[in-house]
Amino acid sequence: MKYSFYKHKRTNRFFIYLFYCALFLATFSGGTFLIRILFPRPDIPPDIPVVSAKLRHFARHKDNYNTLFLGSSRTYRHVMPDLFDRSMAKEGYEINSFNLGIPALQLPEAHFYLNKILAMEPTKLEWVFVEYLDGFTVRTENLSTTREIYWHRTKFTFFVTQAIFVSDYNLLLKLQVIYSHFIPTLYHMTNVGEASRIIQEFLLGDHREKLIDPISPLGPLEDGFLSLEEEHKTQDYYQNRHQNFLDNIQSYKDKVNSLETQTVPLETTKPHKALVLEEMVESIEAIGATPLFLLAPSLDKQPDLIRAHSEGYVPTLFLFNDPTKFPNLYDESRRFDRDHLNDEGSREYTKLLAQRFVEYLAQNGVK
Amino acid sequence: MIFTEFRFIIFFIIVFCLYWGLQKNWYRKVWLLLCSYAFYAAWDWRFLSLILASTIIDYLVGQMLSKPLLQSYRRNLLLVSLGTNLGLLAVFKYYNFFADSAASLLHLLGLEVHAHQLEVILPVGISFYTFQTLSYSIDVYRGKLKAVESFLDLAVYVAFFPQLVAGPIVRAADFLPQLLKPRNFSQVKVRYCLMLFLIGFIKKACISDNFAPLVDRYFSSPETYTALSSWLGVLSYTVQIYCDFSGYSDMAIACAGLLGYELCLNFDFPYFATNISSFWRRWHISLSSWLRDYLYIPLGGNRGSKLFTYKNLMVTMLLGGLWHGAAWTFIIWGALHGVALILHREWSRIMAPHQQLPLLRESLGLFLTFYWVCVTWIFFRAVDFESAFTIVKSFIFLESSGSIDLGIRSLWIFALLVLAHWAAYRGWFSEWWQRIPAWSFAVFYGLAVSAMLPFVSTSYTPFIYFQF
Repeated sequence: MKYSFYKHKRTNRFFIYLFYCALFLATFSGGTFLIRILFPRPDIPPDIPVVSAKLRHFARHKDNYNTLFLGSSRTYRHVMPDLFDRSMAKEGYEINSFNLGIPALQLPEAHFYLNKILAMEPTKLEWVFVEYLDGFTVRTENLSTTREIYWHRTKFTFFVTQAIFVSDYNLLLKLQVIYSHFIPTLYHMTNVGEASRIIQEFLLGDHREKLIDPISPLGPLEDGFLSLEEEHKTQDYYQNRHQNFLDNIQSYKDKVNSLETQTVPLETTKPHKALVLEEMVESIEAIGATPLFLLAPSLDKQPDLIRAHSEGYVPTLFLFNDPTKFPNLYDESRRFDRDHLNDEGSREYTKLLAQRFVEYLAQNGVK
Repeated sequence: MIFTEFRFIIFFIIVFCLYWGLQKNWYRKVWLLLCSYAFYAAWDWRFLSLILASTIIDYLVGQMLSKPLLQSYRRNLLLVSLGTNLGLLAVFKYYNFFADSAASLLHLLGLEVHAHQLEVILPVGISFYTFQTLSYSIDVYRGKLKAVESFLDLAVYVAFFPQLVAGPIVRAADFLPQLLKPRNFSQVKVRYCLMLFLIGFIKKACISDNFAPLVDRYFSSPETYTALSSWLGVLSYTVQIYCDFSGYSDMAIACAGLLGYELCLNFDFPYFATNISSFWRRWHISLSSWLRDYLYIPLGGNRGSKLFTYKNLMVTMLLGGLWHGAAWTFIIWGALHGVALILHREWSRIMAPHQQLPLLRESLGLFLTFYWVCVTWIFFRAVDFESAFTIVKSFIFLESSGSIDLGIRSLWIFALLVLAHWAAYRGWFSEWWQRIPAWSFAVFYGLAVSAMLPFVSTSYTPFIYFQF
């Protein structure tokens, strides 16, 4: 007797349920798509701490700046554009810089903001300093934040996924990292949070801005630099962080000592980072600007960046992560915590950066 | 793993599909148990040992209690269960609180004592699952329930993931019989569960989480805000806590329902209660009934003099407050509700012969009950006594030295929510989605979810009741 697949009751029910699921997914996708068309996301959202204020400011003043600093909190809290510009002016160079440092920035996200800035077509931009950033994974607790959802566009996430596929991570880690990018992308595609923003603005009114950025991230001089000590005054979190550093000063000193003696193994540039670095360099050069990579005075040797420079992915590299060459930058009197300089340290770092930049310009015959 | 996270949706789809794909009830229970442990491990795998320990001890106690034993021996076995479960709570949740309080008291008496603090993380859901295991051993002791033969059944009951971390507190007598009978998918009210999940999701992610920033802002520095802002802040919290907790309960009941298990109703429109007793029959029903059956009634309930009853009521409410959190503000919250319950009893006794103007009495009762509940929420949410009293002064006496105004825009949203809540209470719009064809329901559900997601708040807030 021929078995009739379709006459079997259980199979029938299964296919009926499958049909209803498909119908649900189809209408869900259609509804989501329609909402995106009718209510597109703002180009620069108003509710991302630090990011919104800086992108908005740059969009308004993009033709004022010829130099940009892009990086993590080690740029945000360390590079003083006003001091940098004045130091360069003393040497006869007219520089007008902006600090686009964003706390906890990672390489893929930095690439996104770089593209965003370059898409604004800043006419005078000549120099783009990019702090080398580690990290490719979105932390679980950040998956549904406005910031992660904002930059996880489908096309960009596809590029990041490609990069992860060519990485040397094991399969499990690749899947974990891809998942960490997939979730905010899905939230972006399904418009999560878009109406909530409007409700929050309605409920909180003027208070919303204070909630997002209690202190203006543009800093007192509106150049994008805000010292930790400025926030240290008002927020318990930062006070506790500094105190914790002071309480564990010996372990910091041990780490600095080991950094001095650490030899740098010449590892091959990680393929996924190489892909992103290449693209960043290409994007900057495409608008006629020059990319310059920085290694902040951190406790990492970053051997893969050294290799990337020697392999040509990173054309110019300024290294400041050497306690023997820059002992002051590692002295505890110049530090806010293990990873960040205090005001005095930032001033010193900015001046050293300006000095190094002057040397670079002179070497390259730039007047 | 919170119910409103995408990874929970994926997790549940996998659990659901495999669960109903398995034919034998035993396989399904094993699968449920493994998934429940995986769910809990996603929070913190180290605390799995606590759930296991609690389950093993209560299983053994149950087995021993099912044997014919001397009453004194049975009582000792019950004490072992009580000691283990309450001991876990005492160490992980209350030790630091009691140590601090004792040190403060001794300091007041002139003795300088340094309270040793335990550096422990509060295991998620500990207050819920310990109460569940207690209900099992107490019911077996009382002879109301037969001890389970299978350790698997008890383990599933304790660790069942839909209600593991934030309730409802499920009674062994209600859940264990369901575990013994194989579940049939044709009996699952799929549409009802899906709608309940959607409503719970909206309450939690779209309403509660959107009020959270305003509430956090107000309660972090209430002294800087005007008296009107105190009303907005407190009302916002009243909405937030209800939507957060009842939303979570709805999702838990829906998930359990989709797996074929019925959990008890946990919230029955408590803000429409016309008196405080009615409020406690509608708010966190699983907890209030647990406290009634395992604390109030064993203490003597109302089987004594008036003062005796009131003492029992007060003790129950004080411990109920303490259950919510290891802080004096929670105890005060419980005490305020205890006082209100006592006053209501007296009032009902006095007014019993006078039943005129029922509509006026109910309206006044509704307003007064809601007002009192709002006042008590101040102590529930405030960071300390000082800010609680600042808010109380502002809320009740309209006295505030602050000048910052939160603005009255939120009143529009309150009005909409009250309307929607009233419509739900009256059962409007609750029939049509049950009558439409299945394919229409699938289309409607797809459109509803796509329309709901933009309202999900992206400032993430875990469920308020998670650390209880």
